[in-house]
Amino acid sequence: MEFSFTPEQLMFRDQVIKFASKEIAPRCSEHDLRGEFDFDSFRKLGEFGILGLHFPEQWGGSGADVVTTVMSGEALGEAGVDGGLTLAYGAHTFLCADTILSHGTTEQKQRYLPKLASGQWIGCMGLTEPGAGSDVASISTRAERKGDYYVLNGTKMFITNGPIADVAVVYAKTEKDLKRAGISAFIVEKGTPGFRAGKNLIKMGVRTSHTSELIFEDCKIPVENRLGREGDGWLMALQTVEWDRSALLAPFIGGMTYVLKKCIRYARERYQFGRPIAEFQAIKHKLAEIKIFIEAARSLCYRIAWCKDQGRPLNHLEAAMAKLFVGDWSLRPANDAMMLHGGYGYCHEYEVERYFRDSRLAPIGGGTSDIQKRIIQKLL
Amino acid sequence: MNFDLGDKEKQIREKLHHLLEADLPGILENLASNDSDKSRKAMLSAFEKIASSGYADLVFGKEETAVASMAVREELAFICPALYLSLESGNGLLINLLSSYGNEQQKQEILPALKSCKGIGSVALVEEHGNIEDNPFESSLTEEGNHLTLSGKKNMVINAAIADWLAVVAMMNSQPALGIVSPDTKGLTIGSKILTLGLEPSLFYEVGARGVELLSNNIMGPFEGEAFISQLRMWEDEIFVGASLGIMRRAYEAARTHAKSHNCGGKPIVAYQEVGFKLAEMLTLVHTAQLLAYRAAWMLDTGDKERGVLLHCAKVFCAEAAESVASNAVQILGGNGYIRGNKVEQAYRDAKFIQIAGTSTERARVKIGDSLLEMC
Repeated sequence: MEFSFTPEQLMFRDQVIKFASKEIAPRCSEHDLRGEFDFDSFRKLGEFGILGLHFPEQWGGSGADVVTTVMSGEALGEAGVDGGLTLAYGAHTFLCADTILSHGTTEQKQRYLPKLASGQWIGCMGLTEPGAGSDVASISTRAERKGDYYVLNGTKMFITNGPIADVAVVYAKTEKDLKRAGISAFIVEKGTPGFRAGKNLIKMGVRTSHTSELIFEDCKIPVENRLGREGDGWLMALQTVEWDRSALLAPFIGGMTYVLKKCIRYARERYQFGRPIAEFQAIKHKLAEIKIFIEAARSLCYRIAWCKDQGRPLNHLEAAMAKLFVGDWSLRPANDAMMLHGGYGYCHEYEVERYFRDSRLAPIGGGTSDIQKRIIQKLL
Repeated sequence: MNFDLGDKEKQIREKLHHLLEADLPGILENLASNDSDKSRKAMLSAFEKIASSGYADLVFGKEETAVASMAVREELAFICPALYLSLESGNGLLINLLSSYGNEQQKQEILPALKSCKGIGSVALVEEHGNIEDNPFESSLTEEGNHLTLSGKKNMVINAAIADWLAVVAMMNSQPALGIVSPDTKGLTIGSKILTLGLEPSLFYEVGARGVELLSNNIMGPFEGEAFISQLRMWEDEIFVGASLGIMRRAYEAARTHAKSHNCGGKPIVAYQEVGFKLAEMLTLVHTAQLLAYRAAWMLDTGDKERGVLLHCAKVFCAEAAESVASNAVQILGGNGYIRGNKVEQAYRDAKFIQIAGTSTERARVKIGDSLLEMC
């Protein structure tokens, strides 16, 4: 057992931190305050090569392994990129583009992947519905085959990048009486008649990512836009879980490192009772709590990434544990970071309140902590 | 990067079960005896079995990495936390001290028996007042003519009455040093077993030294600065991290077994979310603690500049996770878990020691904070 990164991985990590610290992080607070998606930064992520990092070169990527990909996500967080932008990147790259990469035809890959890798197009995934979250088999969006078309009807909910996406991977029932086996996946482009996004939902955190409904009303999708075979949708959605439990969690862990550095700086500079608050044991304990969380969470994510690199089948148990840990156990250190800053921590300028709000999504998005416990319970 | 355990440590883990489990009840019964000869015999019998698994060669022979050592330590602590601590806090710690600071004569005379588990070691560190962090040691080694005199009182000394060699930490010329003595040395008194909250059969003793005469070749040190104590604490913490992993897994597995076999309302209680979700949290802690502990050990192997911080992170997390997992295990077993002798109530009591022992969780947090403030 050994936990080393290669020199190339470490060098790339440093490059990502340097790039994102200079080009992206300084813009995050302003966009968060306004609740606006930062299109320029998103495209810069594409230009730098992050959006399609693990894609083969022929599709606009660099062919990076999963560990490197996860590491670049962690580096974005460590550079101070907000949770909204990294969530948008995660939904775009792993939930949308990777599904096309893994299951698409050559024509589909040619049409979509280069544009998604460069950031020219933005992608999203439509799975959750108003009445079906983690109970995926209960989705009610229908895709009825009519000759060379499928006709989609239904509504998707809480779709990250929904209002700004150029292309969506959408899951719908092709066999309404079947549960999982009745689910199929489709590629739907913006502007397709019968397809529209709802208005941007105002959220507590990750405010720079835009979230909305996706509404399908007799939306005609050509058969060639189906991903894989009919009934394969469930497995496709399941395959995103590995990314969800590694690459999507990694920026969040990196963000905690960013916050820890801010806390250390503040603790040194803030004087009370004639000395820096860093000298008080209670402050050191808070710094320790944050550090312990970071180190514990990192190994969980990288283990999933490493297993994926080894070509091992998804370990649902470990994936659920990683999500549960990062979600539930992050709340205390996120709170500690804000408390350490006192009144300043409650103000936007110091960024920790943004991190506190962003972190609140961790035990909710991608399957709540209770859902993770339910998965683990079944696998005990 | 490689997250898999090696074949060698997997084999040793299996062998430990095979060699120890059948005889363990008898060994523990004899260890619990107030007759120290009987306890010593039982301990040596257990040590022999552990050594024949390959454990001693791997951990004490330094044939493998700290990560590999952590893997087999976890398993021994899983099988019997008390036995594990006697071996590691006694022999293991003394082996590390002698290997790093001992003279050739000490190494030749003592190390082979300790490493092969044919002898029993003991390290007397904690003072009578129980604190070694901020208070200087009150025990002393004083030069008197051609010998040194050891005086002082030590607390919580594991194996003291059954050991072949006892290493006592004391101040010599205002710096910490170690005096190596035999338990039957004139002037050395070893009290009866200390009754403890957990880790039965307890092998903790008080040790008193009054005018104990030692020759200079029985001394290690004195050591300048804080490096010696800091290194000693790191070795201890590594041992206690291994103990936490074993204790929490022991509690978790007992709780899971119970939850799957104990029925209520016509179905096993694991099917109820109030039980199943607890087990989910427990397993998450076990898995996370393992990964953190192994990574901390790996950093010790690589000499990473953050190795001290990571070890403290692992100590805090694993020790607290062990108590949390054990507490939930008691809850899941209900009344059965509250009965003395049950694995989970034992684990609950054992786990508390790990938070206190070595670098306490409070001190470890302060040290993590200090390191972060220095490094960043």
